[in-house]
Amino acid sequence: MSGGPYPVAPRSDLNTALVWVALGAAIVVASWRMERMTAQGADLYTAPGLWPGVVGLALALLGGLLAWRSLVRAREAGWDAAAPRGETLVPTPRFALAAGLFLVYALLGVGRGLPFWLSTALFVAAFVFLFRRANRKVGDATGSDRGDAVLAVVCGVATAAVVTLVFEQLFFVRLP
Amino acid sequence: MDRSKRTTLTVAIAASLSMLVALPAAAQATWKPEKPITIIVPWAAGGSTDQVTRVTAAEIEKALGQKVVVVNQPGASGSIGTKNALEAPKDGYTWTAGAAKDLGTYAVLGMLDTKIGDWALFLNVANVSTLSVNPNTPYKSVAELVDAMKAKPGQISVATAGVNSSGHSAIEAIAKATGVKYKHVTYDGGNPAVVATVAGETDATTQLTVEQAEMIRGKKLRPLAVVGDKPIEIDGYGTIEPLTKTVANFKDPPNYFGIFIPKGVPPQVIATVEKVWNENIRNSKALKDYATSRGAQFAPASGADALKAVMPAVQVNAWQAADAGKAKVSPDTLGIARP
Amino acid sequence: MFDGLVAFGHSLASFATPMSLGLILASSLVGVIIGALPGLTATMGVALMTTLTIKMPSAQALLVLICTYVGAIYGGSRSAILLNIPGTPASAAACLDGHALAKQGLAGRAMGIATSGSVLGTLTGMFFLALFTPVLGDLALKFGAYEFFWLALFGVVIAGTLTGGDPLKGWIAGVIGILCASVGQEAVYAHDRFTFGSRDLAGGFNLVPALVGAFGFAELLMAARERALPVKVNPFDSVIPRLADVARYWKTIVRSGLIGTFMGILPGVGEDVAAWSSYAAAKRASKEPEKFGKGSIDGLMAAETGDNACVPGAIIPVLTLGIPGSAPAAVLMAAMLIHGVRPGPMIMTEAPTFVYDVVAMMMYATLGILLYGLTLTNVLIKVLMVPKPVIVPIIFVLCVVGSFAIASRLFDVWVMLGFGVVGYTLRRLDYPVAPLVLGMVLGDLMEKGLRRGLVLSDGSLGPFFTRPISAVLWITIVVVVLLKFDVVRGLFRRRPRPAA
Repeated sequence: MSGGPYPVAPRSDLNTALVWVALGAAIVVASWRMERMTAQGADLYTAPGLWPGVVGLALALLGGLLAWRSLVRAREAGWDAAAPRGETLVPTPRFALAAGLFLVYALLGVGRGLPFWLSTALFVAAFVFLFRRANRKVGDATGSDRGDAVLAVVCGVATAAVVTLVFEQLFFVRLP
Repeated sequence: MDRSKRTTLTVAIAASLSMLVALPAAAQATWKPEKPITIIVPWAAGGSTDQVTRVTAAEIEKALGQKVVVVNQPGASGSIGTKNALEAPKDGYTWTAGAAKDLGTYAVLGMLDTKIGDWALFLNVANVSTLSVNPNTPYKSVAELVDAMKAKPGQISVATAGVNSSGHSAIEAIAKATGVKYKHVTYDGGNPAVVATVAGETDATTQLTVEQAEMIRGKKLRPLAVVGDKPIEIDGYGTIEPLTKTVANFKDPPNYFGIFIPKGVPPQVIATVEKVWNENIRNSKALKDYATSRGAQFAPASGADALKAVMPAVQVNAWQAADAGKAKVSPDTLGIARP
Repeated sequence: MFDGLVAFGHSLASFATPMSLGLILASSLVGVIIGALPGLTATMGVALMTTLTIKMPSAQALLVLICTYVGAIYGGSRSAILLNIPGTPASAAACLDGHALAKQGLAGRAMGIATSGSVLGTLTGMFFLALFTPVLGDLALKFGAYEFFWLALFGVVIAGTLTGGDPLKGWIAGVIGILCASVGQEAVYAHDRFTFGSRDLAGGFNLVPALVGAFGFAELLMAARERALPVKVNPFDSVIPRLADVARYWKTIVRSGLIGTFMGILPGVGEDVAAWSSYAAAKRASKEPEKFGKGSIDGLMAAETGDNACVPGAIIPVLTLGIPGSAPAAVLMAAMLIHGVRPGPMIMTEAPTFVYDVVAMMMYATLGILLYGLTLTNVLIKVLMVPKPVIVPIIFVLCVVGSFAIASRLFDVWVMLGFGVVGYTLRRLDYPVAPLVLGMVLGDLMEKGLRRGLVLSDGSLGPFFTRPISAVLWITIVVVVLLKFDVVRGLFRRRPRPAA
């Protein structure tokens, strides 16, 4: 390991390391307080909390090592020294849009009363249309609103139809 | 005040509505399923519940003329799949399967708020456990094993599929009747427990006979006794004597398996399945063959007979849990009397 | 040996039905396409196909999965050569020389080399799979609770060490995987752990939805960040492999096949490591190491033979020990369990023909990639040209519906989403995801090994250290960790200047 630049800045490593230490410690505490089952003849070494406790301890220790390493690295190269990746941790609008669509579909579109085929068709069509348009705006694709709308609807309906038919008629899965 | 009044009203309306529904239903007793029926097996694929349920499902499929789909939803001692079957729409298209004694004890263990009376039971086979040892151990009979357990309390290891499993109930019953102590080693399921005994990691196992039949036939396990009062014949091995021969005061009721439909479904569903049970399952050669080849007992039953048959096992299981301090709710309050 | 051949023959014949052959053709194609599409990995492909084949008879479902797995590892080389983007992490090594050759106008020849390397690599691994599995199965019977504990720990440690550049973060990811595995009802007293009163959580996290999330959904999120740049394809010549290339580099093929298989057998070490180590070994042995990276046929052959040999290699420990050799093999193992096959030391006793069935499936998968290697190029390019906005939502729908289909539980969809978000976050912070998967698979085994061992030994840790196989295993683990001494050293490296 030659000195920096590291893929991730020491500052961000330190932050995650602290999360691990906290998580590990919380798990150790929870495991310690977990029912020991002594009423059913368990010894300490068969208690349900033994294993998570050991693993939580390991996580806290490894987190501590990572924190220590990020301190060493920061002293060596500075807190924000990282290999340039041309991207930041801040979500791009594109990412926010995609993540939003994914979550709305999976959390609200499935199993919440809306028929599966309908929400699927809507989701795919919306995704295709919005991203085709976004790509056109930055010049990565050609076409028109109208063409994209047609493409979007075709993709949406086709996906919904094929998925619904295959799962319900072929695999006998009752879709939500 | 207001609330309780409204509840009374709702109950009254619901009752009169169900009367309205029930009347024509009784008239047209047969139910023609229009879409595939799902049976949730709350255990992993390939296990004893899964195997017998798939054989039974094929028979029901033939009788009803509709696809019966078996879905495995393993986890949390079978309580997850059972819960999902309980919460599914009461349209008669979602059933579950398993050991009836489990259904009766989920509430005691605080896992699931359901009673055995909440279900229509359709039993197919009764499984019994067999007490077997690794052939390299010196124990040739139950008496020798019990003597060894008395000489070295807590040193002879017994493999089971875990707390609440059939194997655990069996060894607990043996321990109680003979007053011995054993070392309980748990595995992921019946087959892994049997395999561990074959491999010599544990000395003995008390899992279901169906799970041991192959190994017994292959001479990789030495069966000492059937944990029950009737002998069992295994093709290619011979007869295994019952435990009651050596341990006089031993009592362990048979463990019935079956298919369960939550009550609240349209009555014609229950009536139709009951008819299928009486006409098809009772005469099913496939199920009979499955039972005899695996050392299980072919025991179809439904309705009140089924409930009566499974109660002893539920009582034993529930009170075993209560005596071990595992009960979250006393079996008494759930109407399960001490056996 | 002869019995094995007969059993293998039976297995081969049993798949020679129109239905099975159709499935082989279809699933190899799906595999090649998944492999070729950047961002869709073999792990994700196998996980998605597991969900899609859940209702099929087990033999056919596993056939589909193995064809997908082999196809995906092979397919990655296509985009590596044509687009200079590795389709799967495993084909990153193939990018170097493959794309260099393509720039010289030799893309067709490069694809031919990749095809022959992949086919011969798979065959090498397959040979050892058939040869070793029954023998190792006997050895594996000597493994008890203590040994399984160490073996599982070894898998997580080595996966953390070798996948991704940062062992410390790899180990952390592994530990997090182990923790995920400990959620839910534990095995000994059926006590609910970390369930916060939820009955759904009492069943723990289902592995396949978690993997679909960590590999599928997380990849879609990664892809969503980037602008989809228009694809530029290099012109290519004939893709028919040349016998001369194979004859000339036979030493490379044999060496890479052996390295790839061995890397596969090591628990947790995947196809990417196999490709890179074969590549490095070929470079060391080559008379013209300076050509590596500039269009060396030797290098491309080594990388492609190595990663495909790893596939059967990774299945060996699945079948003999119930411990997966790589991330896709972990998914494959989960699928076997869902279909009622319990891989592990008893497989030769419980289902003796199963091992040969797997070898036969591998054989057909090899034929599948050979067929597509010779024919598919133009079609594949068209697929690579399909705009991302169309592919992404469809894959996401499959992630959702597939997670649901396994057990018809909405909870599994939420597990998929949760693991997707966690997987994405970890990846963004430079944590490898493969050890997380291995941790989830092996964590359960480790805990049971530890607790069962302690019950058997009445609480003594002695047998964990003194039993012969255990001793070998724990000493190896210590050595592996110490060999990563630069990690340890990195912790203590200081500038001469004292702390400010």
